[in-house]
Amino acid sequence: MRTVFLIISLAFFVNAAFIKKSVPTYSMAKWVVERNSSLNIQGETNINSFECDVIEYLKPDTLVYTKNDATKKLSFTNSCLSIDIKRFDCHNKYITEDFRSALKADENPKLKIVFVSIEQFSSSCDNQLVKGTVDIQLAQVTKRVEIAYLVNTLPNNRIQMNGSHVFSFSDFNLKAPRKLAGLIKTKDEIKVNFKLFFRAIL
Amino acid sequence: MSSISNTITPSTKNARMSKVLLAWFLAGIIMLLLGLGMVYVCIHLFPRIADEYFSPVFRRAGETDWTFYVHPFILSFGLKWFWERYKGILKGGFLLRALEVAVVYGLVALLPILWLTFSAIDVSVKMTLTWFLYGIFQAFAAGVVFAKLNP
Repeated sequence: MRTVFLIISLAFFVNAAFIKKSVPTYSMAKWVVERNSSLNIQGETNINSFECDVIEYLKPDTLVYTKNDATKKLSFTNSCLSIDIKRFDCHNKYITEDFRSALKADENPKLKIVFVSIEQFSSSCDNQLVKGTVDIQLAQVTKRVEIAYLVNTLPNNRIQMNGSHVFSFSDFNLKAPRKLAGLIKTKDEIKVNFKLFFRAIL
Repeated sequence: MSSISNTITPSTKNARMSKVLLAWFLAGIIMLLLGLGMVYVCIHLFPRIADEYFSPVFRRAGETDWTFYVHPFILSFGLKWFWERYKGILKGGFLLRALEVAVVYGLVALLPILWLTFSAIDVSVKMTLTWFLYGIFQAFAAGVVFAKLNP
């Protein structure tokens, strides 16, 4: 009888421990986007290759997320980076103007990167590769993409996330610039590289 | 006078007309190919100048592309008229006569219109010069065709 009681008690504790473990716990936090964050776009024409940069992020945006402590997944809410397309500098006045015009900067001046989630995020990483999902909003078109970030934690609660993704102008119903009856043309694919710096606010 | 008009029968008139049309069309085709070749040469040898085509002053490729491909035939038409009207005063071998057509076209048509273009539109001197050379080479090619087919 005593043994049976012991076995039942043990089973109860094991079960209780298991239940406790399976209930997810969440923590909420914020990241402030730092000024030195940058975005770089690499493209090619049939003449040359070109690079366009936005080297400073001037808007003090904040990313708000809840972290599932069990899965280490970050789920973002209303977290968006907004980039002024007119601040893209392609280091060649003709390409800069044409690139801005190709992105329809006059009608839709902002490129928005809406953070959706980041998988397996650890608050202390050294060149760790994590996957994330973002919605890119450009020219009134939203495209959801999966991005692999290289994450580094820096001193003073700072986080660096680098990543890149290849897009096509056609993804956003845009036309790659073509001139002189199509004899001068830009390739449809462009590679977007970003280097983001955040400061974590707990 | 009447004896001359009697010698121009409808069949010789037709043959002459078709020769003129052939020269016009052939010159147009050759100028188009030469023009495309010169654009590719510009892209590969002078990429900095070719980059200027991305300037907003140039129309984006699209619905009006056909106008670019038709321009050699418009030019060929004008040069053919000039050739028929003034070929009698162009002396020398076919290359010299073609060169004279190119120089006349360059001085009378290209130079003033490119001057005006440069004064009104934000294009560089280098770009304007490439257009001048482009036109001169095209007119020379047309002159060679005309001098050979309708001397």
